[in-house]
Amino acid sequence: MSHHYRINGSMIQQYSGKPVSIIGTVSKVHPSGNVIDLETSDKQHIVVRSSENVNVESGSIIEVLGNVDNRNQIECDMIVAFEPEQTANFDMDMYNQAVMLFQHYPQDYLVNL
Amino acid sequence: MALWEQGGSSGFQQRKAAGDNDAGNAQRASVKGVLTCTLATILNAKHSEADNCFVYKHLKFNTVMLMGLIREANHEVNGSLATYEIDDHSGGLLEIKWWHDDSGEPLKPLTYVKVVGQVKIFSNKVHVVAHHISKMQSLNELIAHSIECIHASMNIRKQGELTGTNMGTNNNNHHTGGGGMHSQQVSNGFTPVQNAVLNLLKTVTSMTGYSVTEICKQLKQFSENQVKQALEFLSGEGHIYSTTDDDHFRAASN
Repeated sequence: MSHHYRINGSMIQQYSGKPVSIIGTVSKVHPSGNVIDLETSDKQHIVVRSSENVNVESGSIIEVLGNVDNRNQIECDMIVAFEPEQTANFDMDMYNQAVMLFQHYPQDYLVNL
Repeated sequence: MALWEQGGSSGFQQRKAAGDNDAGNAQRASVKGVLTCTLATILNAKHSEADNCFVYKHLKFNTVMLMGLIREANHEVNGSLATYEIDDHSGGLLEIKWWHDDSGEPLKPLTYVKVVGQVKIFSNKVHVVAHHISKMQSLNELIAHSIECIHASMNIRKQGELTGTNMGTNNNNHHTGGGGMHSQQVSNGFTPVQNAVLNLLKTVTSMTGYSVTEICKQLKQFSENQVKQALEFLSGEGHIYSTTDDDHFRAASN
């Protein structure tokens, strides 16, 4: 498993072609079953495409692991779903700020590039 | 110098041992304390024989706290060993060995867990022997953990910059005479007043040690306030401890 950059919606363009991890709220699941509209921590909307049927509920908070394609959409490898108790009081704003921290302190948030 | 940087007993250990004669117990100095860090930190670490710990960049550790997603779980059928491969997206998978009692449900893949354990190396590969594993209670826990990784690393890096030493080497610059007193930092990380107080307390022979008044009398070049501040810093870091009351101190390393 290679290093995945933790990003939000406004960072998508910067990370084109790179593996990313995004935590967000499922806004809509397309009728096809394998495309999701995800609301990111900075209130932007991105499209997540999966090769398999995604089994998530609208309104739930999930983590998407995948690559940013050239259309600024996510080609998803894996979706991590959480239990309702785990996301009950999730502070999305705090998470958004944390995402900035990871970017600003590469010498402290140590990863395998 | 912070506790995790020096070999020898920490202040906490010394409190327990006060009264016992530990002089005969020649234990190899090792880094104590728990480092909150990413998996990449552990996977890239090298074991240092000299420091008896694992080292990666400015970080030295033996015990770590991690959080990651279980990718693979193997539970021994008739035994108590569970082996997990976890992933925190910092690059790579880390093996966790967990000798558990039979209580609790076995943890499954695609669950986030928090692990506290010791880093070990075997056949050139690192793994962690867990003291504690728990399922993530809240996603906030994961975020807080990641932020803590940054915080811990930053603190340790700043501590290293303050002492002006290379964290990986032991610099022993001996300033003889009064010349060293003028510089704010001494090479071992203490200010002149802290150094003077600590060195004085190291000469203590009685179990009660020296009182604040006695220390001030001996170190007339510093004000009472300076001495008291130095005592507070040194006892907070574990280099000295109070004995019969809050006014008497001894050094932790004798």
